[in-house]
Amino acid sequence: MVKKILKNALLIGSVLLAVILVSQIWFSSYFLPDGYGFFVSSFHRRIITPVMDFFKQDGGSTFSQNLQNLYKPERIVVNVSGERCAYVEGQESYAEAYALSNDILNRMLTGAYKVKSKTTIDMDAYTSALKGKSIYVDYGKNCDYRLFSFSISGKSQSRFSDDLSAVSGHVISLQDSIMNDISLYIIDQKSSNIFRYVIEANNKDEVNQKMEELRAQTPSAGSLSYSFELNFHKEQENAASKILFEPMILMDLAPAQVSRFESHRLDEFVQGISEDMINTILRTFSINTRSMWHYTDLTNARVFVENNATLTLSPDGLIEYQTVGNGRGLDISDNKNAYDIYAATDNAMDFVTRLCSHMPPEIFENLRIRTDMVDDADKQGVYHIYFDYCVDGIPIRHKTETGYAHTIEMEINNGYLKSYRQYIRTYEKTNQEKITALPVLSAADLLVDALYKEPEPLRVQRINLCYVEDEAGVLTPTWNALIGGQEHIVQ
Amino acid sequence: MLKRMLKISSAILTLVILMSVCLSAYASPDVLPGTVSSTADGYVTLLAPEQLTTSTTNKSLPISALAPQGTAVTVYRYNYSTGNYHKIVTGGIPLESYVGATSLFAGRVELTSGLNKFLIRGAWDDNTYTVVKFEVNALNEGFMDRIKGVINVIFG
Repeated sequence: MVKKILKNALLIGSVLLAVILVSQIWFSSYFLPDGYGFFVSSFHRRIITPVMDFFKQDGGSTFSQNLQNLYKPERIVVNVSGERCAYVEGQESYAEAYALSNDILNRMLTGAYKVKSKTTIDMDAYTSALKGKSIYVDYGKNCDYRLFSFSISGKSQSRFSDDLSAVSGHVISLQDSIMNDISLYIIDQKSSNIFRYVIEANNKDEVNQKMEELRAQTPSAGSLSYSFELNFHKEQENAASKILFEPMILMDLAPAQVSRFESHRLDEFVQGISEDMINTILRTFSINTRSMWHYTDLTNARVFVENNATLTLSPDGLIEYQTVGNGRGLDISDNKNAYDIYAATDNAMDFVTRLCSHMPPEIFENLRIRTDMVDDADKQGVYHIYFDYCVDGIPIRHKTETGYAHTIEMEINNGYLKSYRQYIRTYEKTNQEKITALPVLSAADLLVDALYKEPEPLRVQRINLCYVEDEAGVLTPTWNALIGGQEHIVQ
Repeated sequence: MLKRMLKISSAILTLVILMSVCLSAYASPDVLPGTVSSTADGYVTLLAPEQLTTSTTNKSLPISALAPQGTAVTVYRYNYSTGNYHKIVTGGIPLESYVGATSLFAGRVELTSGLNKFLIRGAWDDNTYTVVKFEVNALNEGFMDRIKGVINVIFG
């Protein structure tokens, strides 16, 4: 009898031990490094999301929100009653101007307004629209039309999909004063066709009034001129031009006054990263905590090494993920068929959002996508996507030994993340007096001194203010020019 | 000997100071007579506005010019009461600058309703300069809108 009881106890003990050991292996070890989270995330990713996507024509709302947060116009220019007002992020009334232009465009894209006519026009007609009553929305980068449409209307296919492939901005013109018409002027950056859509709007008076209100509450940007107004885009007959600017470049002829900012590194990184934070970051990069090995290098950086990838967390607030050897990289896409810029942008934004969700909210709130979001026929499936931290609408670049890094630089190859690099910083505006940045023409003088070679003029595609953060964390305003596809930061 | 050296040094120093004062004090005159004309060609080429007589409904006007590097470019406005051109000063800052390596000059001026007359002067020194006179008729928007409205009704 005693022997039987002992046998049963031994059996029950063995079963319990087996259950405990198996659960250890499954939920706390390399087999399921995320524990129960594996089931939750897997269930969400493989079942909930596809079901939601099925019922929503253009995928989940998350991408729409991410896109609206990370892709915004660099500048909105309202021309009304012969005066010009310009709005950049961080400035009062930017949100109002953005909401007004978005509302009009959304109605145009979704069919709430009736299109009366469509014509193809030349650049002179496009630029003349800017001189009259108009709103010019400048995103400062080319964007695939599907992404652009999705950011405005929540649908990747909309009314002008047949005409437009890539866009970088548009003009909403209210020039015809007696008709109820609003015109949309937009350039297809791929074909270079310029379209004018005349649209019958039922709320033109309301739009007019809002534009007047915006003008009344904003000081006039008297020193702001387009390059085409100054004829800086044309070669002269009588004299050789050393520098030419794209016609739509907005040039502030007065020296800009910009705020001073202090850079802060996260205490988490400086004083030693907590195990929770490490685990969160490792989970985001799908690094298996049991099979990896790790060490602390001479700079006090924590290095995590897995089969084909290395993740480094530096105390100066730098996260670096790099695939090594023939590693495919981190799988960040569910669908790798016909992988294009639309999917790459979706995946990149989703990844950045997930990683930043574990950090102070201002890090994500101030991130903006910086790269053109268009397909490159020569490198289909391979995308380098950059994000910059922006303060008062001005991007920050980080000075390194080799150049000027973006806040986030990622490389995606057909749905696999090959490399990722992010500076974790926050910035605080100081009460000190503002800094006067170099006037744009003085910056152009320096560019000519450095780069001009007779007889071919320098062709400036873009020129924008940026801050350069040095290794000591000091931010200095300067100009960033795009010439022949290459960035040149004026120092 | 020492006295002589001292004298020569003082003379050189005085000369240097005088030259630097001359250079830094060189500035375009504040007022130019209405009849002023160029003493030399090629020190300024007006880029914008493109025509010497234009009209606009805007309240300000972009002005740009091409000039050799080192030229002092200044913009003047005609004053009907004095019959002279006066240097444009906004917020205490005159609309003038030395042209750099780009050879470009740019500025923006406020317009008053009616005919605005301007002069742009590119000067190498006090006696070597080119002037270009141009005028802009500032129309009010309502007037232009009425014209556009009539055109739309007839041809729209």
